[in-house]
Parts: sequence; C-alpha cells; structure tokens
Amino acid sequence: MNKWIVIAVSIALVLSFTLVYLLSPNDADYLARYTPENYVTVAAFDVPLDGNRIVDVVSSVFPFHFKTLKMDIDRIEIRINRNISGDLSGYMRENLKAELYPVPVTYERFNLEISFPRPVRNYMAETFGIVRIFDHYNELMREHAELMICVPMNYEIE
Amino acid sequence: MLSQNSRLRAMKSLLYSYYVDFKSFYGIYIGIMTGLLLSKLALSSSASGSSSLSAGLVNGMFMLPIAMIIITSNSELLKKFSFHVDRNMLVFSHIILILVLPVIMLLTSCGFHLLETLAAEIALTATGNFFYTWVITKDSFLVGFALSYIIMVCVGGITWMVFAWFYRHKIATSVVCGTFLLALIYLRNFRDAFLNLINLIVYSPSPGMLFLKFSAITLISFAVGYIPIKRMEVK
Repeated sequence: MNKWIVIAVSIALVLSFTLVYLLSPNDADYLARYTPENYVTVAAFDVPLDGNRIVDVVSSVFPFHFKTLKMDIDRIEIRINRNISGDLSGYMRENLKAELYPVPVTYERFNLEISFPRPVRNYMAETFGIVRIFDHYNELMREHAELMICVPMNYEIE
Repeated sequence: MLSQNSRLRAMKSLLYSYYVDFKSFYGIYIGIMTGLLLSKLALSSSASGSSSLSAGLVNGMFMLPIAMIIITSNSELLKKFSFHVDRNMLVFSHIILILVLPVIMLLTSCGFHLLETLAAEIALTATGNFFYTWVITKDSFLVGFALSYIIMVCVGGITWMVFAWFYRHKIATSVVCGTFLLALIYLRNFRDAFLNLINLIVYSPSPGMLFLKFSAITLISFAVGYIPIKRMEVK
C-alpha cells in the first residue's frame, strides 16, 4: 500500500514539473504577448504638443505593473494588455479611474493619477525569483506589464 | 559477492529508515506550502507576491539545513548504526538525502504552483475582479529549477559539513565559527573580503558556470564533512 502511494506521489510530482514546463511559452512567444500591438486603449487625455513636458505617475497601480512608452501619438493613453487571463480591458474600461492634471505655474509637468474604485486582485504566476540575478531573465521578466502608459514623443515620463 | 549483497541490503534498509524519518519532514514542508497558498489566495488583498516556485525554494532553504542539523547529531547517527552499516554507508546515505530532498521539495513546489493556477482559474470564473498572468518561460523555468536545486544542495551540504564537525568537536568548531562570525561583524576588511568572495562566486556570466561553482562548493563540503564522521567513535 505504502509503495503504491510513493509511486503515485512520484508520478504526480514528475507530471507537475512536466505540466509547468509545457504550459510555459518559449521566450519569443512570451515577448510577443507584450508588444505594443497587444495593448488596447482604455483611457486617453488630450494634451498640448508643443515644447518638452513631463508626466509623473503619482499613484501606485498595485497590484498591477506598468511600463511606459514614447509613441508617435497626440495624446496620453493608458492601455491594457489583451493577453491577461480574464477580460481585464473590459473591466478597466468600466472601473479604471484616471485623472491627468497640470502642475500650476509652468504647466510643463502633468500628474497622472490612476486608481481602481472597486477592489481588484491580480495573481502573477512567476518563475523562480533566483533567475533574476541574470540580466537576461531580469529584462525578460520586466517585459511583463498589464498596463502601458503611452506618451507623445515630446513628453518624458517619470 | 555475499558481502556485497548484504551491504546493498543494509544500504537499502538505511535509506528506508531515513525515508520513514523524512515523512514527517515532508509533511511539514507540505503544511507550510499549503498555508502559504491559502494565505495568498484567500487572505491577501492582491494575491500577488512570490509564487509557489520561489516560496518552495525559500522554504526548502530553511528546512534542509534543519534536517541536516538533526541527522548529523550523535544520537541520530548512533541510532542508524547496526551490523553492516558502517561510516561510509552512513555518509553515502546522507549525500543521497542532500541530493534527493531538494528535488522532491522543488517538484512539490511545481505541484503547488499548478494548484495555485487552478485556484486562480476558479477565482477568475467565480469573480469578476480577479485576474492572473503566467510570467514563466520554458527557459527561465528550467534555469530557475536547476539553480534552485544546486543552491539548496549547496546550503544543505555546507550545513551538513559544519554540523558534522560541530557534534564531534564542539569546542573547536564553536571557536572557529564564533571567530568567523565576530570577524564578519566587527572587522570591516574581513567582511568586505568575504562579500567580495560571495560576489565572485555568485556573479557568473552564465547559469551553467554558477551551477558548476555551487557544485564545486558542495563537493568540497562533502569531502570536509566526511572527515569527522569517518573518525567518529562508535560504541
């Protein structure tokens, strides 16, 4: 009886390793999920396009992650990744609260405040954290982001 | 031939006795992993944080040294000695434990990772405000598994070596370890040199090189730890 339990547990353990491996994409497929084309706009703000300006993201988007990108666009956009399990873009369209307001006096800086009025939970099925000691994997893992903030070319984001 | 067979049988029975001992150890490991899984998905407001794979590594890095501290003690060692079991077999069985236990723990963490994902899928269909992302690639998973394994083996090997010496030569080992720790705390140059050495070991251009470095440290630990057990007196 004991022997069969050990055999069953061993098979289950090896299977779980194999399953995690098979469920994981290769590096190229993984990176393809986070290219700009995979993000859809859920909020946009018209902004002046003259001069050099700065956008500060003043709130935390926890439990999500965001990355920033300068693009040839004429407004500031908040985009959501389409490849997240569940309808995150639909949820964000209904629930995302985003405000952009200029900092007075010079009006060269804008503060972007993002919040989620309803409680929201996000689980990241991550790999072994130890791989981050290598630059390659650290950069690879950092490509993952649920939100992307896109700004026009003359804007800096901090 | 007859002697070889009896040695093999003795080895099998020795390993079986360790298997019986380590059932409760494995139970504790599973208990901790279950607790972490439940607290993450049921109690945490974000369900983010390290997933089961990293949690398994950290958990194993704490539990494996504890197991090594226990198995190298005089009372535990003497319990294992019976006819045909000699010091070499004992050390060999310890090395097998140090090599096999991390694999079992890491494979278990893979199982918990799948359970976490299953729970996330269920939460995804049951509630509208839960989302999850799979941030693992084939490459990062394999490299992470191999590195986690060798780090656990290395930590287990070093602890085994230190406590193999400690239980046989308590005063001498305490003086050496105590001096080392005090020097690490109070002597800045020594601390810097030690941290540089750690950096030199950990900083590796490739995972394979890091794996080899940890393997070498493990082998040295096995060799050094073998000496006091080989010399120990068995009444």
